[in-house]
Amino acid sequence: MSIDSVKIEQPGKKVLLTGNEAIARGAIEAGMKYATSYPGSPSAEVLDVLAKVGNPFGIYAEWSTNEKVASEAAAAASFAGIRSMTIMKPDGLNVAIDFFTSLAYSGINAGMVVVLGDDPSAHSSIKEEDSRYLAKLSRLPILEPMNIQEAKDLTIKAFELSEFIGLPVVLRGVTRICHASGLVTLGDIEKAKAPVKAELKEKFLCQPLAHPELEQKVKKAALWAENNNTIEYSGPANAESIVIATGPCALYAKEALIELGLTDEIGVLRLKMSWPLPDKTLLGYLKGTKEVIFAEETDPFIEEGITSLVAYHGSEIGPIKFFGKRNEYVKGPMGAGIGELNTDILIDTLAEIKGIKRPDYSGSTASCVEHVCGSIPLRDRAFCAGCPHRASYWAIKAALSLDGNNGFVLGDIGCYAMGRGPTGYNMLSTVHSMGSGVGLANGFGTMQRFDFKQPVIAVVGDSTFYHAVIPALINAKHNSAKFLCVILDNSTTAMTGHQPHSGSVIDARGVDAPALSIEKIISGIEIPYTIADPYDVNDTIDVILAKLPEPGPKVLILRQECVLLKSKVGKNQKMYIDQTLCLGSKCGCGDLCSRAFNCPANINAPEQGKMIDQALCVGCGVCATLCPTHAIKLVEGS
Amino acid sequence: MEITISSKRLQQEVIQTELCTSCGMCIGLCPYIKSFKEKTAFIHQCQVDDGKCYNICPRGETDWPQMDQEIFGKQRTDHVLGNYNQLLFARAKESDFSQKGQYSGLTSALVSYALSIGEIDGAVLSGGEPGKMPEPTLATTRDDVLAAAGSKYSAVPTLLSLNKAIEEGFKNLGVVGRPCQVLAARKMQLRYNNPSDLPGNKIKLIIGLFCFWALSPEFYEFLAEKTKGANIASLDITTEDLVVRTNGEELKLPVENIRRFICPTCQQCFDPTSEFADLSIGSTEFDPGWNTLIIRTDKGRELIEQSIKDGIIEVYTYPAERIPLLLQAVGNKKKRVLEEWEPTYLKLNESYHRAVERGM
Amino acid sequence: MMVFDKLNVIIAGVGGQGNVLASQLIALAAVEAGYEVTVGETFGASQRGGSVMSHVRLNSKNSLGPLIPKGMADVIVGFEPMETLRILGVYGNPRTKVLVNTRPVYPIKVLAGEQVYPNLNTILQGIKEHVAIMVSINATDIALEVGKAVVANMVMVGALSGTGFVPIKQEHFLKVIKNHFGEKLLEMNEKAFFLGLNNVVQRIK
Ligand SMILES: Cc1cc2nc3c(=O)[nH]c(=O)nc-3n(C[C@H](O)[C@H](O)[C@H](O)COP(=O)(O)OP(=O)(O)OC[C@H]3O[C@@H](n4cnc5c(N)ncnc54)[C@H](O)[C@@H]3O)c2cc1C
Repeated sequence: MSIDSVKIEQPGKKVLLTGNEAIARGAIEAGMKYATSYPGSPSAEVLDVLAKVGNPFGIYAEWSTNEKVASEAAAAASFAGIRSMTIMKPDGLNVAIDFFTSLAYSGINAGMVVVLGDDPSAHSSIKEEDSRYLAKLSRLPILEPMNIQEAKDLTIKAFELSEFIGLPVVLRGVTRICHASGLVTLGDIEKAKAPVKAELKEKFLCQPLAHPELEQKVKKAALWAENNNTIEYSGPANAESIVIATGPCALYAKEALIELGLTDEIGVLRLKMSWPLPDKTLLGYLKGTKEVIFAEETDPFIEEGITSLVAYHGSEIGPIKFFGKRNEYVKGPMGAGIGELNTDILIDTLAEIKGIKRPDYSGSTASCVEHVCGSIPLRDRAFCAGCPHRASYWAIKAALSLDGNNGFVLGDIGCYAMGRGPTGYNMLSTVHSMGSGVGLANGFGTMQRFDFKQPVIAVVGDSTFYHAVIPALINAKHNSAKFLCVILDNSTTAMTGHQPHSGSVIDARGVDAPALSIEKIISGIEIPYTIADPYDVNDTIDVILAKLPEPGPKVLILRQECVLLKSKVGKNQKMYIDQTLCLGSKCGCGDLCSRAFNCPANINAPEQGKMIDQALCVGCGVCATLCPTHAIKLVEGS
Repeated sequence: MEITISSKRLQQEVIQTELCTSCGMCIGLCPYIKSFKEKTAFIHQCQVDDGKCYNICPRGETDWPQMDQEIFGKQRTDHVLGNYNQLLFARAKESDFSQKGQYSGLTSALVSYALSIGEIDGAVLSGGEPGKMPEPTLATTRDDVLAAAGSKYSAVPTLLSLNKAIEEGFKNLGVVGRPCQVLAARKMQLRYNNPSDLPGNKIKLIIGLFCFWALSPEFYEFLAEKTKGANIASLDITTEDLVVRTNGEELKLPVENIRRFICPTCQQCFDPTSEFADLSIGSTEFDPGWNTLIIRTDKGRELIEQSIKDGIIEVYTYPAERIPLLLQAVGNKKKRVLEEWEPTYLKLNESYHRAVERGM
Repeated sequence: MMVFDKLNVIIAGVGGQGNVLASQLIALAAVEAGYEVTVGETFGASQRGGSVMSHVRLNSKNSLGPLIPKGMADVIVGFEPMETLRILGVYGNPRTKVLVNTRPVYPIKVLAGEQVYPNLNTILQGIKEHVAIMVSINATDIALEVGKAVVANMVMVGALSGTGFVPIKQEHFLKVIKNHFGEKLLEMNEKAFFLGLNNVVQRIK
């Protein structure tokens, strides 16, 4: 809840922390000294916090160019005897996986923890991915905290385990851990201040011969799990039905049982470590159990592990009926294995399994929406008022229409991925992973021999440019792929909360750092580039039109700072509508600025009529440029 | 289901079918329609039923007999040249016009005269250097008119500057245009004139050119290549040749070489002589010092009479032996269009079809 | 002031309204007041415009999950009228107490003319009919008076304090506000807090 609480030096004090802050605190208490990350929701704030408070504890923290580099740097620290941590979302693990599968073979030295922020229901992601499978593939043991206190405690445990087995360990947080808050009892950080010495003394080689040793390490991890209370049971002794849960699902299950009055009947078995499983302890609990209900997010990961375990030991433990994702008893909001769970879902699931009715708390209020107005409009996410991306997409859309050759736009992830929705005029034809729009553009741009004629534009963010676009541009140059790469440069990593990147003048800790110029890198690849201001929509349209037909790869940098950063500084211009000039509903077949350009600050509501919402407007002036009657004006002297 | 949203109709019936003539009339009427390289494009999908953009489009559904009725108050008897009053040879008397003009400079002289007597306060013309992409312009002086003289053989979206001039407050505008542009301007004038602040009321004089086809902008690239970048002084297209005059030199290229640049929509044009103009002006295909002039409306007749009286132009009887040549050229074109294309935008009545059967 | 051993509070609004900060300050104030607190919230994409909701759960034991089950909100602090109604339909019950900011934030489909924002009075009247008590306040306009729309969140926190819907004393709120804001911003935010508080206190008396 407050970064300052993370560094409080009063062991035993209880403070309110977010999950991400608790993980950072745990790392500090564990004497972690070297942290790297590329920002990704929901775990981005862990490094933010470490960078801001880490100095007195001698912690090095960096925003790395991408997750692979981040992981390699953190592994180097471990090799040199320094406890390290790298933080990423599942997409990041996908990027770094090649390294991790190799790292398993070489092993590590000092404790290394990989914080994975999974995002069930994809609240702030492009897809939901259960990263435990890749973690298992790389032979990384997985710890899953249930609440905020445990986010801190298991972080410390993860370092112990990591050193015990000589492998990195995954701490898997989900959105409801990372972004939730709860009270945490602080531990001692005094000893974390002791200086450490980095030195490489051994070799760390990935080679096939190391495989048997690796499998031994996995067995050792399972043994560790047996001996370290990684299984926690609450409920009646010898319950015939148990819920087996990981992470916050355990809390949901417990609350659901309370609400259904089933606490005397059903117990909750919680696994703090979801891989490898402590088979012996587990079998002990399963013996005598008749029904098992699985509560985990998102995929049936422990479900597969445990059902397979039971299959090997059926004769010892007797028949068990399982209720999980495989037989679709446990469903997320959109189906089994899709989306996050919560108390409500588990109330329904358990009520269904037990054949009872769930209590009705809502009463008549549940139908208030239908009662009051039938239905209410959904609220789509939209670019902020004054967001340069909106202006950029408007210009791209106009240019492609004018060009008239069926051109299309390839995107990727970041705020500008919303270009696939109405706020970006549904402009994007593809959205995949970081930088993949440019990779795809390489493909389209080299298909001339197949009579491919459409103009191709790939949009990328500035942070993405450093992360994943440079190799694709090199490829494009060498193979003369014809496309226009538009870099939507808002000088920050906006989507995840404005972290600096390799083009920023400061580093993660706020210290001056060399900023790498996008244009110099592009010049180095010898691709022609132009820089334009997306707020100058008409100029941008002209530039795009001029560039599209040129051969080979071209770059257009649309540079304008993220408005959220600007509004922190204070807005510089104020706009108003001259009602004598505004055509209102007659304009552009009806309200160009609000309806077509669709900026949330251009409102047109029954109560207010056509006006600028001063609460939202940042004074970018784009609507003034587009207004056909020049009715939108700048307040003089603002 | 019938589509009623105008922007959709326009896109489906006109733009996607390559029937757009790039007249420019819809551009600037609405902020979503723009022109690039003489191509009209929608940059945003609008939702309005019965919008101007479709209603004024020369390739939107057009009831030919109804146009005749509304403009001339009668149906035509001549199915080749349409309703008209007089067919003449005519020429501008002043040498400035004959030097700068395409032929005698009759058109420019008449526009300049109409400006000078206050008949119009601005004229919508097509300016620019010969051989380069032309630009829609608004002329308010004799010099402006002279600067825009000469034929540009591509489909300039001239009428976008009509919309701009109306927006800027001009009240009495003259238009010089290709037949498609004449039709568009006429539709605007007839359909959007009530109440008085509507754009239709601002159009006071419509001079139409003869036109059998216009070329796509790629023509200019071809030209630059053929002339090796030399400065082009003038262009003319005769029945056989494209005649390019550079500094002192004259280059003749067979018309066949430029046929591939003809805009597809021109194939379906049923109106080579600007049938709905006040005055139609073309070449004589005979004497470049003169023009063919068709006086169609009373307004046209008055302007001609007055300008003769003030010594601006002179007229001459159309040589009887040349009339069949004109009728044949125009008639064949119209016949071809009906037989080969059966354009869906055209609504004609029985008498047209009978005329076609008779060979126009 | 009433004492509760369990209280579920939802803070609902639209991304960009500062409701995440408001929920953090309410949670911190609840800790000051001696409660165990769990907060669950949906944020992470800093982009604005989506529905954003925080669940603040006060309890004597810290064993609650971060999400409030359906129909179990005791208090709803709505930063936007339509969002308040939406949340009420899922989490509310006839005993729920509601504080609502009356200033609409229009979804882009409404601005695009594709959907209609329901009549404001109908929404407010409708909320009122389905809950135990509703207090409304135009926090955004009050905030613009103070100088900046974003301090509407502090106007709402002040108003919440004024309603007495939560067992947190004014001094607890003021303490966490003081801790949170630097010198430069403190005065404006405190002012907003009191404007919200006084506005509500005057009216409920
Ligand atoms: C594309 C095109 C095709 C033509 N085809 C024929 C033909 O097949 N047979 C025939 O007899 N005559 C044709 N003409 C007409 C002819 O070339 C002369 O323009 C006409 O005879 C008037 O001559 P003038 O001496 O009065 O011209 P000027 O006094 O030079 O006046 C010409 C006027 O035409 C306008 N103008 C020039 N180019 C265009 C354009 N592309 N679109 C709209 N307005 C323009 C200028 O602004 C100027 O006002 C054609 C004209 C064009 C533009």
